[in-house]
Amino acid sequence: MSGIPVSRYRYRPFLTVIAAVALILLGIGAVYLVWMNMLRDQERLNPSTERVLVTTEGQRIPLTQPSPTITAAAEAAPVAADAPRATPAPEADLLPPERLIIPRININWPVTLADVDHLPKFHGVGWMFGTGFPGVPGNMVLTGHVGGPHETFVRLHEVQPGDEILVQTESAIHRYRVQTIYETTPNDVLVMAPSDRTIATLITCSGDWIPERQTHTRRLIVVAVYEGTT
Amino acid sequence: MKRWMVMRIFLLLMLLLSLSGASAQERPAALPPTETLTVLVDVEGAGHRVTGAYIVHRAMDGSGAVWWSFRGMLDGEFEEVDGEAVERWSIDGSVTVELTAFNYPDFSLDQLPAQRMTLMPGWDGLVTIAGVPLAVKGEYRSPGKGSSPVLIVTNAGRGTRTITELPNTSGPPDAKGEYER
Repeated sequence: MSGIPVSRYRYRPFLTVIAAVALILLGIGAVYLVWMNMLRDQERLNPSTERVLVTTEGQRIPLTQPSPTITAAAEAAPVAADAPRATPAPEADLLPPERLIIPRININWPVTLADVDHLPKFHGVGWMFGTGFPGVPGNMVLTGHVGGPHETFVRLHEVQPGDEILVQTESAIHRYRVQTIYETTPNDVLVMAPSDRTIATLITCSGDWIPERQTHTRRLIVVAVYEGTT
Repeated sequence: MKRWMVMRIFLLLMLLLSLSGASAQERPAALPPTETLTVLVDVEGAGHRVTGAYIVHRAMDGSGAVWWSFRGMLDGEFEEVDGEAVERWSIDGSVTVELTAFNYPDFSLDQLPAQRMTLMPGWDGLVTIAGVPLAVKGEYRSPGKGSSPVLIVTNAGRGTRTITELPNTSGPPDAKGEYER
């Protein structure tokens, strides 16, 4: 009979199981850490929070979000030299648009953040992810359906240069003035490009309906320039 | 089921990132000075997609009070919700966020899976919520300590999205809507 107590053998299976579980957990932890580090590296090189416009010529234009460190300063660009001087926004907060009002065509729709492949399925207007905020320098892009059950911009073609466009946020109503209206092709993504000026770009479909592609041949673009708050 | 899912997404985003804000009419009459934070969210998970903006008003008086609102879409449908929370920052840089009020039709605070969560420092632009890694752009710090005015939150690992066409805002000509408000 050996001198080793029997009780040491009795607990060996339990110790083995505990060691195995600990090793498995360590392995899972290690895999998790490696995975997170890979994701971090990937995010540094190719950040998922960004959007990039790619033109037909292959030019890549980042859709710049407001810099996280900037202090917003509303600088307005008057429509014409003799236009009344713009009123800067009353505060520096970067607030999302909440309603779009175009008196000429009797529009007063809610606005929500949207993406090119995630547009409103209700009577509302999409504020495109990555585009400018109301009342601050940049190109704020708003889209609405021209037809179907969620149509909001069906009368956008009736807007004329000089018309007023109002964009309401939680704290202010920003006034824009329509400057240009034109049609373009669906791949003319420069329409959404960032701008040094404080502008709003409204987009909807136009032209002929293509049933097999479930879209129209053209896009109607309305560009409005910021004037100030009401 | 869908409502339950959106509640979970709202809460998890809120608790982990303190994505909070409040509708002005819900806030008390005598407001302390606040710092405003806008959080843009585009997150997919469990077969759903949430795209929207949180507006967060954080009290600057040291009380940790937070009033928050969310306005956006769940799978294209309009969603709006607001509430209140308390954030408590520790010396080690961690923050505990507790949801104290929640305003959403037919849903109460008690029905939420969790009402409190602690976020440790050092997230380095990446956080994991319910197993879903999220990329965060911007700095989130205690009130008055230089948080970014805008945070952007999306799924991590999906990479920069490229846009080659303008949004398809068409609708079949024979499926006109009622043009209601």
